[in-house]
Amino acid sequence: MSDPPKDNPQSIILLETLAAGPLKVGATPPRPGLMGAFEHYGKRLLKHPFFPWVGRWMMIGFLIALAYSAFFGPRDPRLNFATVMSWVVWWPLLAISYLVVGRVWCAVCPMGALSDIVHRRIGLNLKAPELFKKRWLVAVLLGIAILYQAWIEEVTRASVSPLITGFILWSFTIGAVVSGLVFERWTWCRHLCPLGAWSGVFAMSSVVEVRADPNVCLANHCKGIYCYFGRDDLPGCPFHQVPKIMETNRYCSTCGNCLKACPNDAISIRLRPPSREFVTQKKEVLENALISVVAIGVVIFQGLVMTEPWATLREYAAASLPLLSNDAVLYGALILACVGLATGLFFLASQIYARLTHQSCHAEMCRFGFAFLPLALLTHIGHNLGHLFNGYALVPGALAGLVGKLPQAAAEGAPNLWLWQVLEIGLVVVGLIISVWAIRRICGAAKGNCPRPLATAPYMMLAILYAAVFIALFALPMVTRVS
Amino acid sequence: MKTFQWNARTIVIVAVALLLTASVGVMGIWLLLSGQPGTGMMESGDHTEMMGGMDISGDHTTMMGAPANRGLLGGYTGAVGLVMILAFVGMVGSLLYALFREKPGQPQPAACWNCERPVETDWTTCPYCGAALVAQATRP
Repeated sequence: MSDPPKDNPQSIILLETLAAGPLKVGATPPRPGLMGAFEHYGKRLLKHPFFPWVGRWMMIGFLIALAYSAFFGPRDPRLNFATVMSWVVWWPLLAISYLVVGRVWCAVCPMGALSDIVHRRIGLNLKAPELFKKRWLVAVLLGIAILYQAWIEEVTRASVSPLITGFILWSFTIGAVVSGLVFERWTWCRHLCPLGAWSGVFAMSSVVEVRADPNVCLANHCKGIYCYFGRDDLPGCPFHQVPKIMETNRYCSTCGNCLKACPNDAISIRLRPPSREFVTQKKEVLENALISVVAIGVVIFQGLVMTEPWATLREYAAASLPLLSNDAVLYGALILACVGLATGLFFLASQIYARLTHQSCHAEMCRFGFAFLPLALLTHIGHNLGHLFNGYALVPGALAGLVGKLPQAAAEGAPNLWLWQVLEIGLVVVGLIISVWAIRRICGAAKGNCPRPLATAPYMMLAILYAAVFIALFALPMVTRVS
Repeated sequence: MKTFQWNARTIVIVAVALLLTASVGVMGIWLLLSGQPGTGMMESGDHTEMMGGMDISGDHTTMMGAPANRGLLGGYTGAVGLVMILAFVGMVGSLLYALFREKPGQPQPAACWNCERPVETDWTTCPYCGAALVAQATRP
């Protein structure tokens, strides 16, 4: 880590007037009740010296077990520890974690942990290439990561192939380790990891945030930016963030480094409404706002290809156009169609809204794009929870398979279609409510430029349309992921 | 921030990094050529022994796809090949780019317009002086 710069009194005065508004001496008082208790114990957890390393070492052990099982375990995906734990258990839990604890998986991710260990011990500690930080490249990489991740999972059928699962684990681990060998901090997680890109986007809808209280920073005349640079042997933010000016969860892994490094106890974990940061963000750029609409398209794609009627549709497509008999082409065309349709409808709604409010369409797309993220996330959670509920019976068999005691038959378990559908549709409705609330909040933040409720009608109708598509998809019978 | 210079340690680390990166490529090529990717035991038909004679065919055609749907640019093999190629090219490319093009160890070019201290390009406010960096941050 670099050393913090020397003091500059003039800069501190400007900071007091510009960054935090009127100066208040002392910290914001803690909230009472259960929220206050959550924040108190959450902060204690993040500041604990064993966090996140206990979790990281456990996950490294888990990764070793996954890799062993992927390459040397049973070939049947329903008995293989790697496929069952990765696709049936971990993937749905990861989706839930986005909402409940943000991007915390990145704090305990075994690949990131290995990268961090290598980086601290023997890494060259070079700065990440500026190329990684170019706006256009970040957007393109994120788009490719999201599309490719969804596409590759379907085309390779990674969820039913231990070898492909093992290959994905290996390639991600090597990417992280090589990045740790060469670059500073968590360059892999911040700039290169496709899963991290996806996690960062969904973490923006989280109900928790780690932020600094600027009043404490100012009252203590903090000039060291220890949360960014680190202090003594305590590392700073691995994602190059400064909590007192941070506006988004996208690049916060909740690793607790900043809480430990801050000498003034200014940083805490807080509960918040799930879409609050969409209203408060200053940096509204189109590619970021469009991510949530792209996520809608990807979730539609993931839902559609797991419905039972999809098999018939696929055969029909292959019979109509021989080129579509190639899975890579068919799924590629389908995902682009889903994303294109979702984005096109959003553009249309923005055009109507811009005409109603006499604003620039581009500006409105930047402001309202994020509002659809809760809907995408809750639908993603619902869809994946269904896989968890219908596949958890495979876990004992997979554990037995890991230690070489293969059961006579995999515990299939009849999918509880009714429960699955109720769960999925219920979460879509919750997502719709949060998205509608976010639209109202974003509109309200515009003050005079948004004559409610008429003006928000295009976006409201679009959210309802997306939700209706999700519900229609989820009303169809689904195939389970591994079995 | 360390200043980068070629010496025995850095040569060893870069060589290890390249070897590890190459291992992804080698594994990808192995999967590509072996014809195994994604097919698992369930497609090849020899799964019955492992499954204790239980018949699990038929129900999985929806998930597994048509058997004829394989080939270098299609189905499992082609996708794995693409993963391998993209991962390999991307990792080697970024490594070499960082080592030779970016002149590592030099300070970052982005700086606050007010206090001229180095800032990250995605920050919206300078943490040192509080100056708004929104215009700077959103500049392409």
